[in-house]
Amino acid sequence: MLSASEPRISVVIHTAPSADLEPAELILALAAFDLPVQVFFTGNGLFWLLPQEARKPNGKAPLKVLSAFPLYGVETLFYCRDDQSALGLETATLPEYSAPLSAAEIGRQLQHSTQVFTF
Amino acid sequence: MATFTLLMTQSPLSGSSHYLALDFARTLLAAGHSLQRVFFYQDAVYVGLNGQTPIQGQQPLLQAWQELAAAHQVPLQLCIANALRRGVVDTTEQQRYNLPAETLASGFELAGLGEMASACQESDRVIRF
Repeated sequence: MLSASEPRISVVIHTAPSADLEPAELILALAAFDLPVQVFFTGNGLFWLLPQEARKPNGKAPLKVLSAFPLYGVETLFYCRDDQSALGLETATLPEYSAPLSAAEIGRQLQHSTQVFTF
Repeated sequence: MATFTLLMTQSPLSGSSHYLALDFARTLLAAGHSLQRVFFYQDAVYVGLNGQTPIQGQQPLLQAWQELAAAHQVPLQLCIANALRRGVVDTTEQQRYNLPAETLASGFELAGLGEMASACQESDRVIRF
């Protein structure tokens, strides 16, 4: 997690993945320009973190795209523990580079962000 | 005075986010702030289609964006990858992919996501609609 004093961009994904994974493209582009990006999955956005096939023929599976994030400096993907529990998702099914945060903690992280994008 | 970038992600054909964004842009400019660019992403790129005809009596969104850009020299940038997927192409891309027609409206340009990275670095506020 970035320090509170460090400028950072937060991206909150609260919708399930669609065919083209465009929110992930924006995150990778920002990270490729060495901008400090934090990613939070809330609500139906947690479905990005589940193993699944690509949403269209010859497309990319969401997890395959997310697995590239650490290579771009987005080391940890945070998900809302409250939503994970409400959706009945087992933590064992979520990728090892993801970590839970409470809704309150995510709120605090967003308060310290210079930019917040939601998808 | 602050510098702003607007990030549009919603389709102009549903909801009211484009109308809200236009009101917001006019208000911030009237207050003396600077609008560096408007970046259109995901289904918001449909706003740059050049063949739109609104229902009679409705405000033409395309024209509203064009007028704002012309009056205040605000770049209207469509994500090039998102636009290509949706058939919004300028002359260069039309020729590159041998497409039947240019479909990008005047006043708009296709741009890479690096423009959004620049916006995050250069603007005091990036507001998503």
